Amino acid sequence: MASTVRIQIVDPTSDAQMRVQAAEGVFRDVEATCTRFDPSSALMQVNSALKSRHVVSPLLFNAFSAAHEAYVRTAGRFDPRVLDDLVRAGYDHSFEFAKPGDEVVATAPAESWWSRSRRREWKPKFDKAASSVSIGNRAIDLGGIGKGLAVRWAMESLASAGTAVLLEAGGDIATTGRGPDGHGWRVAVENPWNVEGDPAVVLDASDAAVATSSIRLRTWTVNGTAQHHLIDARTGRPAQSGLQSVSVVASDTAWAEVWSKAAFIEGKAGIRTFADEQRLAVTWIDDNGNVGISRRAQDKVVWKVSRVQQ
Amino acid sequence: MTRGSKARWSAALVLAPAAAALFAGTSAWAATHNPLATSAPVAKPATTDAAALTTNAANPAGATPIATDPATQAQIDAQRALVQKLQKKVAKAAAAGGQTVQAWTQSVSNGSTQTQSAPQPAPQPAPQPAPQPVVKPAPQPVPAPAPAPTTQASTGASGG
Repeated sequence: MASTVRIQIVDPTSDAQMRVQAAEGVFRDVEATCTRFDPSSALMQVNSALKSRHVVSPLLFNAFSAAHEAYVRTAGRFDPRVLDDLVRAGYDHSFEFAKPGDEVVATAPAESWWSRSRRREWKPKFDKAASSVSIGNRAIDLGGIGKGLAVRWAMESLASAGTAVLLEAGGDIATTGRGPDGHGWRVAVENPWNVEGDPAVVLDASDAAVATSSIRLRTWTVNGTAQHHLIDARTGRPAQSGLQSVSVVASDTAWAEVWSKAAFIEGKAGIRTFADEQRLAVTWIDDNGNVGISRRAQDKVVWKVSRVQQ
Repeated sequence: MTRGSKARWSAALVLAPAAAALFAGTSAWAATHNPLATSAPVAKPATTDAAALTTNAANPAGATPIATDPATQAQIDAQRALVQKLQKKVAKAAAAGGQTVQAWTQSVSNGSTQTQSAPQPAPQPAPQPAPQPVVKPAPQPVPAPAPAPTTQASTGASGG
């Protein structure tokens, strides 16, 4: 996941340290199981034999199940079958802190791949009793949900470690309680062009989760063409959404991450309608720096600006 | 009928027709005559003859009484006194006006401000101030947004 994990516990219990260690173990397990940058990971073992039936660990089984549920609920906007698209777009190795303008050479002819026909509906086969799975004929990338799942599962250990807990992993945040001062956990939505400056929005994320899909990081160029990691499965290409970032407040980080990506792919023109129809608490920043919030997010916003400086 | 009443009735019989005849005659005369046309000429009051008054005032010693009636003469004397009084007022007013003009001229030549006694010159049209350009009020400075509250975490680069 290449992310820093931070845990904040208010009035920790006597077993808080043990719970923290359990949470750290969750992150290690998810990283080892779900990374696509290690060919020996369980995920990549499944991806290497797509048409086979695989007996997998409960963690990976649950990850596949969660990914499929997200695919169904977002009507395909969230689609984990984008690994090949990412590789052909140049995202074939981890570069968490790549800067805009970094030149990355694609490993396969992109045009031939992107010109392929529309993909079919994803119909994986799950056998919970046997903990086996058949994922279909396209490789899976769990990058769009794996970190959220890690935070979800880690919070199962941390939730009762104190009167209030905050767990943050690379911008995916989950909290319990009312924060360190009893006034709630407040989360800043960064200005994509100036992360060190004032935020665009401050959200009340008490007893909630927040995640953001953004192209601030993981943006690069291939043969002079800008690329990013948020693939629109309908086209197989980086989404041309007119958005810089989308943040979602939900009850769970995995769902916050899934919906943020789906809303990002929906694009600037449709994000407000999409968020309101899905009853999502969403804030977004478009390419011009305008800050928007959905109807559901209005009571979550503690502070905001209408536009951020680029 | 007594003897006295018989006499009164006889007198009445004689006087009544006579009275009726007199009334009829005078009424007929009045109907055919214009009272204004036949009124006697009205004598002009002496006080309305300004020329005569002036002449008499210029030479009061040699004035010849216009009327010999004592009452009329008394009226004439009273009017003369009134005329003399008015003439003095006119002369006094004329003398005062000349001094005022002189004083006003003096003040102008000295370049001083006008005295209170000087007549106000024809009111000069007050210089109209140049029309002031319409100046819109300076826009109020946009109040600085409230500083962002303290946060415990930030999000913005996840989703990878």
